Amino acid sequence: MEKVAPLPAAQAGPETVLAPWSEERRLLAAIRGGDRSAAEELVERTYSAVYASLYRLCADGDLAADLTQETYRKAWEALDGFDGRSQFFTWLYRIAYTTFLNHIRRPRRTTSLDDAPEMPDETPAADQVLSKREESERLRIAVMNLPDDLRFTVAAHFWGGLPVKEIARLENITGVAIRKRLRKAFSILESSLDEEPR
Amino acid sequence: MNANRKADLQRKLTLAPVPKPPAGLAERIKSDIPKQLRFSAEKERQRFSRAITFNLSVAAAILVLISSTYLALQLMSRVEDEKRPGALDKITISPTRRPQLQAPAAPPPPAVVKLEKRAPKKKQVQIAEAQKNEEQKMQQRVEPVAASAPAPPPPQPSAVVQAEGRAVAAKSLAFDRADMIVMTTSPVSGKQMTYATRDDRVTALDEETTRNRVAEKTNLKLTPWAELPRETKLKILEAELARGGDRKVIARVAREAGLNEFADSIEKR
Repeated sequence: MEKVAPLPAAQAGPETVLAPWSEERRLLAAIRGGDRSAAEELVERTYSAVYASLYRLCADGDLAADLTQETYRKAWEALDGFDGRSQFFTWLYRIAYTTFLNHIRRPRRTTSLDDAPEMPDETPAADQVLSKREESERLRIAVMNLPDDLRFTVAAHFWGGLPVKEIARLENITGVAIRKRLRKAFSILESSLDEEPR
Repeated sequence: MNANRKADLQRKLTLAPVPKPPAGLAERIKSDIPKQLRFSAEKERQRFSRAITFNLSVAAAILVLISSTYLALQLMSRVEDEKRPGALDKITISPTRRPQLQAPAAPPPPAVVKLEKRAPKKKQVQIAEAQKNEEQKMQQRVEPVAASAPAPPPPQPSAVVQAEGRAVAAKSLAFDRADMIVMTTSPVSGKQMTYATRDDRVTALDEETTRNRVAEKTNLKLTPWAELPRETKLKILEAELARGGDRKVIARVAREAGLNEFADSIEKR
């Protein structure tokens, strides 16, 4: 893991993760028809984003890879139940997030949130890198300590790269409600980050 | 939260670097793709029909529950209605108290008994009257037999008690449903009598047991004949006439009560 990939939402925007409806439908129709290459194409298009969002959640490269694989396994099993109300990646993100939650709730395989994340090497000075690493870890822990609904919204929007509209569709609530959640999450995050020594 | 702080937080959340996925992850995921990717429409249809079946069975269960509750309530209310006369059937009346009933008492005609058990509340009064008429007929039939026969066989106590119990029950029921109950001294027989009126029908009661029960139930007090209203007197005299009271006496009492038309009509008959 030497190269650094940007978050889908951060650099390329959700368009790259969320394929156009027509394209996505074409692929899904092909998969339902038994076309294996269509499934592989779908994997190629989405797995980096799934991995990235899981990495942001667990801060462990190997674990994120395992969870990504697990996510796709579950997705193939549940593909029959995908009703197309939301986009495929949104649906896949929900599976990934649930897979992560299931993992951290399993007692014997719990990953401590206090463990230092495996961050990639960077060229800047060591103390600078350390400071950045600490800061982002503090932020991750603060996000993980948010209430369930707020945590999912923040993670899906900022780490999963999902637009507000898609999250709203997934959660069966309005976009306004999602924005409210984000505002509330920001205020909690701010206060929790202020509490900790800077 | 100020705008700068919010922007800073957003930046931190979105711009944090993430490592590239490990090499071979895509291959690992692809290898997990099931060999048979065909998702049949048949499966979807089965799932859909299963869901519908489940919903229908839940709805059916609810319907069955509601209807059985309704039926149970109906049955319970019917049983309660039947309990009232049924309880009175158990009244024990000593056979020696009615010596005039010498002939072996035949059980009441099945039609009457059946009616008594199944008839709705409103018809109970009519049943009481029907039963009374039946008793009178039977008495009329029995009397000549009793006169001619030298030693009539002793009555079967259980049959007599049963018949009397039913009569008492029917009369008591008539009283339960009565619009008005009056206790007075009969101007015809000179006995203390209780009369119940409902829908312009009057039922007279001269049996002490039943009368006492009704009196207990309703806290009746004896009203002198003279103090009764004219209409009540007329109805009572009609009842007495129906019971087979002496026409002349009834006519005389009617005249005394100022019911001349009624007295005339009796005498003309």
